[in-house]
Order: sequence, then structure tokens, then C-alpha cells
Amino acid sequence: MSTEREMGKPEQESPEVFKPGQTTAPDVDIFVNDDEILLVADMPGLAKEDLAINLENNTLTIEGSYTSTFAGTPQRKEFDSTDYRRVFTLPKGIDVEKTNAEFKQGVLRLHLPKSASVKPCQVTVKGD
Amino acid sequence: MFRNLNDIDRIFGNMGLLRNQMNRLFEDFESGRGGYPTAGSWPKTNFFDDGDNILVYCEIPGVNEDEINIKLHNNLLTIKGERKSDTPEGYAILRQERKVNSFSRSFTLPVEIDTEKTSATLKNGILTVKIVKAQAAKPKKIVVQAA
Repeated sequence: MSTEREMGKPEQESPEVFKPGQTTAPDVDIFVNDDEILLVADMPGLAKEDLAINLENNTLTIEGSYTSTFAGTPQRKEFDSTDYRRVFTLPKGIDVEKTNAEFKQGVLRLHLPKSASVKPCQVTVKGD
Repeated sequence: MFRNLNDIDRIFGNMGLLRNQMNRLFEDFESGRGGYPTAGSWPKTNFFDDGDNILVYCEIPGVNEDEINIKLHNNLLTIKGERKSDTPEGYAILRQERKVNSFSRSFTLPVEIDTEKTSATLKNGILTVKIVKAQAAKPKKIVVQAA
């Protein structure tokens, strides 16, 4: 009979589970006005040096690796080391050269200026 | 009901499957991000114990030092704060995932503490509160002597 076998059997039978690397998509806000697109992302724990922003063609990638430095034994754990990563497709007409970013207290503010050709402009109508 | 031993064997086989699934459920719980019953609360908070101190870690991106209010009353720790809205003037909102503006979380600490010695630091959007345990609550090594 199988009862005893089942009960007494230790862990070996349960398949090992690979823990996937923790990857977090940071929460973002995206704002837009006539001059630029502003992207704000929460990446708590991340140091400025560990943040990478990559602009290639129309693809914007923000990523960074946060390694926690907790001391002692965990009593409750709601967050841990993680890799932040998020990819965006940008609309045409971003002036890549003028892109700039600030990073403060785990919050990234990325300014993506629109190039002159896509900025709205007023057309004056002439009449008699 | 059970036609033969094979049926019984199959039933226990299914039970094993269920057990495996239950095991995995708990692994999800323990893995931190995602599974914790309070995972929806903001800010996410970790508690660590290094023997002499309790260390509290809070993820609060974009909150400045002067916007955090930490209170210790008896064994109740309250962390309050406000994240100022950084929606800029004159912009249209395309996407808004960062929602929280003010927050408050309270925790009952499991041990006696020395309220006076508590300190807190903020770095890269992570708040660390160091709470020193009362002398009586610290671990003590007992030396066994030969009789």
C-alpha cells in the first residue's frame, strides 16, 4: 500500500523549482507637452551609477540592478534585490541628442525633447 | 467502491500531486515580491533582526527626509509620510502608474525596545529605521560550567 510510502517520502520527489531572477518593471508616469515627453519612474534602492538608459532607434530601455544590503535575519520580507527593466517604444521625432535625465531618491525623471519638426506651430491665415 | 489496489494507488498519487502544489504555493509566499499577504500595502516594508536591533526597511522612492514622520509609542511603530505630486504644470498625462501620495503603516514590535536610541536614514529611496532592543530583550549567551 502506498500510504506509508507517500507519507514517509521526503522532499526528493518534488521537482526542484527554479526561482526566476527577480525582475521588476518600475512604475512610470508619462507626461507630454508641446516641447517634450517627460517620463518619471520609481526605482527604489537603485544607485545612480547602476542605472542605464539606452536609446536606440525608437526603443528606450531603462534598466538597473539593485542589490539589497539587509542585515540580520528576515522577520518579514516584502521586497528584495531586483533587476529593474522596462522598454518603451518612442514616437518619431524625439531629439535624442538633447535627452537628459535626473535621478533622485530612487526616482528617475527623463526628459525627451521633441525635435523642431514635430512641434506644433501656428499658421497665420492671410486674407483681404 | 475501490475495485482494486490500483484505484487506491491512483488516489494517493493525486494526493501527492496536491501536496506538491501546496508546497509550491508556500514557496511563492516566501519568495518575497508578489506573494506576501500584505504585498498590496505601500510602502513595501521589510523587518530584519540582527540580535541587538530590529531593522526596518521601507521602499519610499521620491519622498524627502522632511516628509517622513516616524513615531514609536510603546511597541507600536508608525511610519507616515507624504509624496508630493510631481505632475508638472501644463503637461498632459499619458500614463500614471505612480499613484500614492500619502501613506501610513503601523507595526507592533514583538520585543521591548529602547525608544531613545532609534535612528533612521534615507538613501536612494529606501528608508532604514534602526530600533535598538531593550537590554532585557537582547540575546544573552549562557556559559555552561562544569559542576
